[in-house]
Amino acid sequence: MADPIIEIENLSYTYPSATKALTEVSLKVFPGEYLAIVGANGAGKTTLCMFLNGVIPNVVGGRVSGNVHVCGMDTFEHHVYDIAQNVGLVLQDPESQLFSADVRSEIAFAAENRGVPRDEILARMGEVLKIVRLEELASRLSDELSGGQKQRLAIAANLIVRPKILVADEPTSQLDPIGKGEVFSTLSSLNKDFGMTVVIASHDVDEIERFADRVIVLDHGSIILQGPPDQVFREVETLDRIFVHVPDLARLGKTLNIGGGQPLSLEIPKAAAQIGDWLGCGKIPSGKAFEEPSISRLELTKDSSINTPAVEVKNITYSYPGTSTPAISNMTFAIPKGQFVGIIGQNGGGKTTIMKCLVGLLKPSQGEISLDNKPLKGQKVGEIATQIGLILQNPDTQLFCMSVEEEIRFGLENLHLPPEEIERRTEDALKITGLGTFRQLYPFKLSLGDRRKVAVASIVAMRPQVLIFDEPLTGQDHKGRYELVNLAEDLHQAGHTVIMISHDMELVARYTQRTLVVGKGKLLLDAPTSEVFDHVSLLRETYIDPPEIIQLAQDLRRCGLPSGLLSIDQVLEAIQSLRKQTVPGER
Amino acid sequence: MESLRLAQLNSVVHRLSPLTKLFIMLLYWGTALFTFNIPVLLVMTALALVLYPISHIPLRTLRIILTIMAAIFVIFIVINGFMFYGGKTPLFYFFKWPFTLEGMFFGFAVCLKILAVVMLIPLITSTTTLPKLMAGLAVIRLPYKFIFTFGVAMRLVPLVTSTYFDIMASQRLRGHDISEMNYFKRLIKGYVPLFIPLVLTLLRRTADMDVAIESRGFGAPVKRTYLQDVRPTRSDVFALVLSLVIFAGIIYYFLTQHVSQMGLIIQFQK
Repeated sequence: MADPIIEIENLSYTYPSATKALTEVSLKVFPGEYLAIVGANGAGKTTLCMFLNGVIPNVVGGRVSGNVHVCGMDTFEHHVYDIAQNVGLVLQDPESQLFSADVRSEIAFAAENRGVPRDEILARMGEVLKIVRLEELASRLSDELSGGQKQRLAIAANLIVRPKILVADEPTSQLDPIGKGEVFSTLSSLNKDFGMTVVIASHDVDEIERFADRVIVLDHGSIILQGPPDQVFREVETLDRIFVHVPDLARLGKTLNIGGGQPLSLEIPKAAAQIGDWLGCGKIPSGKAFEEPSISRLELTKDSSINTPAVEVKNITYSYPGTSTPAISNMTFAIPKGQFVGIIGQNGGGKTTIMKCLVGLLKPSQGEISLDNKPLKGQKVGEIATQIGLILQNPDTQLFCMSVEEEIRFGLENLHLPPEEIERRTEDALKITGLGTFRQLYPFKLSLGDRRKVAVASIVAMRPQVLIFDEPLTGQDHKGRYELVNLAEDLHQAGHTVIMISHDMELVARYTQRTLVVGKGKLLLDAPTSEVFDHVSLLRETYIDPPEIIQLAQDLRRCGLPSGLLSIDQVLEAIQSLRKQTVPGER
Repeated sequence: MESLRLAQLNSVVHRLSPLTKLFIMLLYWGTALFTFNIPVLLVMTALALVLYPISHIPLRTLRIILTIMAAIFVIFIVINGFMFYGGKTPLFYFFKWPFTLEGMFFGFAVCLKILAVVMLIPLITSTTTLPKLMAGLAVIRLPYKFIFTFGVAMRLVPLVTSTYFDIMASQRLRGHDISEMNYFKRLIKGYVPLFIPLVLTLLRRTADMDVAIESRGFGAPVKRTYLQDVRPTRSDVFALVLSLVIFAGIIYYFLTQHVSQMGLIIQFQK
């Protein structure tokens, strides 16, 4: 076996702020390997990535012990600019790692810094643009690119110096499904076609399972599991304990014993075949194979029970200034009181524009919006906020107070409520969001998940009947996602109408009652969530794949599984019930 | 943002070296600031105007400039019409104060000077990409750290603007709307909820940016190269010669044909 390209021995590290990040980490990575690092936020993934190109300890500082050798270089002894020739680093936020005005200059930057001759840079530029598939966008400004394109540009900007290793720290956490697909396929191509060693920290276990050769699982700065994805992701109990997302099929396979000594495959077609055989449906087809609903069923839901809609939107159109194509056009829907609705679709499709129209931040050029049967027109944003609250994606755009409770009070003071009412509502909001123990803390020092909760609390305190969560799960780990969606569900149970815009299909499937699919500025589908995921082709148009468990259930309809199954528990129960029918004596 | 996009286009002006453009700009500005001669200023304004379509700059840019400056121009002409020291031909009276022809022309000349200077700015900013300008500044031996800081700052402008608008939207959703506040209320409590998140968000971003910059080998002890080629070409030589001829002509006109201070046959009051 070749010598390791990365060799870490007993690495321990404490940040200058005294936060202990890594404890006795030892790891070897071999040339051409695709290694994935998983773990909850704060487990040490980013820290470990930063060690691989020497940013820690050379730039960040802190207390360190152990050794890190990358491409034979001791990263503690070499400057970052020397290590950077061998190790490229792609970060989480696309905006923070692009500092040139246009695509070509961004790519050239690292080579210029290394003194690579101009002609050589030009020659390499062509190759690199081809690898990341940005040839046609080479003359664009960086700001004109989508999130996925920006991340591919960041990859290209590292490739220009021909590194042997590419390290990517959660490169897809802020991207929509299309961007995520672009980045993962680029990294896979670098690894498979060019033999580059790839190290990626990510929460996207489905993609890791598909592309990575090996996974390491970090918890509180230590490696607690490692091995091939097929092996690591079967450690369901351990992963649950440390709040790492488990692929649907691994979780199903843990409970479903299909016998024959074979574990359930983590690939959907193979798993479906295994379960199908176990159910005996290969021999006697007992169900009807999955078919997409016909086009005629694509009609939008016209729910006659919507007598008292919380939100009613009629034929709204909005175009951003200076653009000729409307961001949303002729959109009509109604949401009854007390419903939990999901809105899905690729970025740029119009989801956020609709929400901004609903809260009065944008004024539609035509059409009408009513909240609780009252037209929105003529009301100020502050007034609308007491009826419909929007929790924006990035909580940091609102936090400015010295404590959590002041932050919650801010909106209430702007409503000129009496002091005792402000106090009462602040206490309620702290209680609902579970932020009581943080009430005196400086919000900006809290974790991302808790900062999001502060944003929710400050909106909830204004007592709007309708709450909109705009991409609340971006950048969150598994635990953070569930905490926030559970909070949304609690608010729903308490009587609020909840609208959630999200790219996380698993949570949309699990929590929402109804889903709107939005794309190219139009409402493509409005149906109960249990039906939406059957429209596979339509979803694919907006680059959405149903969650793994739903795809499996669709495949197993040929064996008699009913339609409309959305969760692992539902699918498991249906499979077990079918098995009982086919093999009556089995317990 | 618009000028960054226009700078990506291609025209004879775009292809000139940034140093050539900077030199011509200084020559032009120097002349415009030096003279009050209306015909000369009109010729210079016309020259700049001709360069707009050649450089693919839409005339709406000029319309925006004129809209912004219109009020200032009116004020200059009115003030000078009444106050100009050399005014002797009254056109009308406002109460007992005369509005003079000479004052009006003087005000007009000042406006033309400002217009000539301002009109040239898009001809540089909308025809020169930031990387080319940075490479040009490196040729005149400005320290690269300074050039890079300037480049990043320019790159951050759209990011800061979009973050600011996000913050404004976010606070409006909590009933804090500065567009509904009067001037004093804005100063006292309007901007704090906007600027604190802006500064904190940018600080967080710049920490990441620092890591990204280091990771791309910034500061390596080697002679830096530049992708942008800013060496002068034949077009640069031609543009420089043409500019020198035009401005030499203007100076010759000053020296020989200079009829009066404003280039018009108007005798100033002694």
